[in-house]
Amino acid sequence: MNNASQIIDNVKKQGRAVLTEIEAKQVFRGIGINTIETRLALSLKDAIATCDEIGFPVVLKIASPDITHKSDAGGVKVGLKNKTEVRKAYGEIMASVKQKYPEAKIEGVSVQSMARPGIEIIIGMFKDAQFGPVIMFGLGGIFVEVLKDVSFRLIPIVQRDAGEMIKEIKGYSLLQGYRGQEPANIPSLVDILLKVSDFVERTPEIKEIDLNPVFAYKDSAVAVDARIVLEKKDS
Amino acid sequence: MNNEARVTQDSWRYLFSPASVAVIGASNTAGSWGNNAMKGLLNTAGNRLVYPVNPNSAEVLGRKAYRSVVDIPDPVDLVVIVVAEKLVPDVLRECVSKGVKAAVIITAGFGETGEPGRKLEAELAEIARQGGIRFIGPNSMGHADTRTQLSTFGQSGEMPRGPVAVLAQSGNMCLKIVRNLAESGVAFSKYISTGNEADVRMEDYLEYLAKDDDTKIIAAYIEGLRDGRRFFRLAKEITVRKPIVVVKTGGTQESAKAVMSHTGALAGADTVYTAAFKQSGVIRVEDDDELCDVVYALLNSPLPRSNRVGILSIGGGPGAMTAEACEKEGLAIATLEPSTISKLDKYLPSRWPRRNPVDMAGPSAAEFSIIADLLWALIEDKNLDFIFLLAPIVMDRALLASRMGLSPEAIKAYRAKEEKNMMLIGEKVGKYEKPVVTMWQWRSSNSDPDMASLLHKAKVLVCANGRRAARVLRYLVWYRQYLDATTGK
Repeated sequence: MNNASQIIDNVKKQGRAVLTEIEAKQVFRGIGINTIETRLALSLKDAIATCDEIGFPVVLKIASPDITHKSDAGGVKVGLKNKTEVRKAYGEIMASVKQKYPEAKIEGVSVQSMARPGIEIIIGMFKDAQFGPVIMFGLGGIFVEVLKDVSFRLIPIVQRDAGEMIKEIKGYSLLQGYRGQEPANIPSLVDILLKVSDFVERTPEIKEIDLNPVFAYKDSAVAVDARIVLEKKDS
Repeated sequence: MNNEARVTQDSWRYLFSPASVAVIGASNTAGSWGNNAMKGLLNTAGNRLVYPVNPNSAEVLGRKAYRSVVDIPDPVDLVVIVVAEKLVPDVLRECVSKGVKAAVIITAGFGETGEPGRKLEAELAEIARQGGIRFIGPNSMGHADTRTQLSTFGQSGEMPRGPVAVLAQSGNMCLKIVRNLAESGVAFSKYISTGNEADVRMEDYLEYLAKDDDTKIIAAYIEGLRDGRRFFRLAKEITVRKPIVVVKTGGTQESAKAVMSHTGALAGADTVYTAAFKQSGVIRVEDDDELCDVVYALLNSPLPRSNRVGILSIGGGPGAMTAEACEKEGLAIATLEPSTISKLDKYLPSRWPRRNPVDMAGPSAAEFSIIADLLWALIEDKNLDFIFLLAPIVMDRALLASRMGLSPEAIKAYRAKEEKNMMLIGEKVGKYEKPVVTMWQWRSSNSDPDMASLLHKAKVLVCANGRRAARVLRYLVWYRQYLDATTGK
């Protein structure tokens, strides 16, 4: 928990409002939410060494505090099965990012394990003008983006709120598993919702949170990507 | 955020129990706001002093009129302001120097009209804040308190007292809701058209009504909340003791724009409002008809323990249609206990389907007397939480005279029997805590006052149709579940 606050303090001290993916994942790990192991590689050599450690397949993503929409920038390569693919991907990422965001500060690439497919979940948080901090739950991909099948509650939430907001979404039956897809572990999702709510209640400088996607399996859930935005400080 | 009450008890007293009221802009012109307000105040004045203020008249409605509020020799607790908007700031300044403590500003043309209006409204708020005046509005149609028989709406006649309070961010909606409920026999503690809420806000009224012993149910028409979080906190505390029923408008694109131009307030993300209401036990309904249905039900019926309905129908068609409406609202068409089926077998022809919905298979008018017995059997069934009744439990006068060929004396005797049945139904509804709802006789009960009164005695809820009845029960079931969950049952 202290670790999470420290990371946020550091970001604030640097005058930044958006945490990097790696920082955000560290924060969530610090408050007890499972995240996919993600490491920063400062060079191609570093990236290859990391792959040796964590195993294949991997996902490479551009690591830059200035780039938030990494896919749009051509900065994400998934399902890399061996060193050759990693080398090729690294080159393509760097070229694309340099072309689209020539001014961006590049720290390197993040290397993470390619997660086993689970049911895609989105958990988020934002501040509503009338009601303040609000937590959101939905099924990932088109369910949220196109169908807007999401539920909300005001933070802080209790266990009953978390359970209810999960059951409320129209696609709830999908969480019970379909077409060979294993069901989602509901208590793990409840746990994530409660931890996010708790954390936001304690940390009023958080403006937005995006855990997208969270992969839900039958025994657990893991955050594959994470984003935290802080309130901008008054100058 | 400040947790202390924004409005003091003293201010509420001046707003609702003033010893003296002045109408600034009082008028002899029949039907004008200034005439309306005067008439209403004079009508229920009692010991309350009422002063017209109008520099262009020597008298209004027979009372001496003053040029300005400062000319009134005695103290003035409350003013009602109906003068043109450009005059209101100066009038308010005069009220401050007079020592007035509370105001209702009927005048429109402020924040709801755009930027110049917003500026003028802000000016009012500042004058009042510095001068120690709390006000309702502007752009309010008035307020009423039945304990003190005060009405700035322009009511006529004595106002009956009751347990329902109505708060509305629209004066027209306020009056529509009040009239609809009054027609069903509901009476009020207070009702307020809150206007643009430049000073006193929806959340303040809520805070006040929470502690008001005269108020047992709060009904509200809301377009936007300025401090949603405060409303949420208050609602959470209140709904475990007093139900709050809300219509919230402005959830769709154009309606949000309409709301903005009406109160000058932001409608806000509708889905977040839904979440806030759900989380704090506020019953959110779709429109003012549902609002009236639910308020009436909360007053006259127990809350069902769960969602299982038993349908008693005069024939297969109505039963099926009502079953569909129920299932669409998440109500369960439960299986009857074998003992219930045996009881029903005694009264019904062998062709009845022996399941729920109970289809009486078209009894003749002569056989209607069994309906009450069928109803007892269903109320006693442990698998049912409430009954939908689609059969004539009371007969209208015209039918008794024509089809049954009864003389006036015979009708009287029939009615006496019906009354006995109704009292028994009422007892059972209370004892078993199971609502009984009828929709079959809605039109007749509207035209035959005997029927309406008999159904009321029986604590039977009357809804316009199966869909509305199913919606009401869905809300009641939800509220019961919320109470059980929050009070740890």
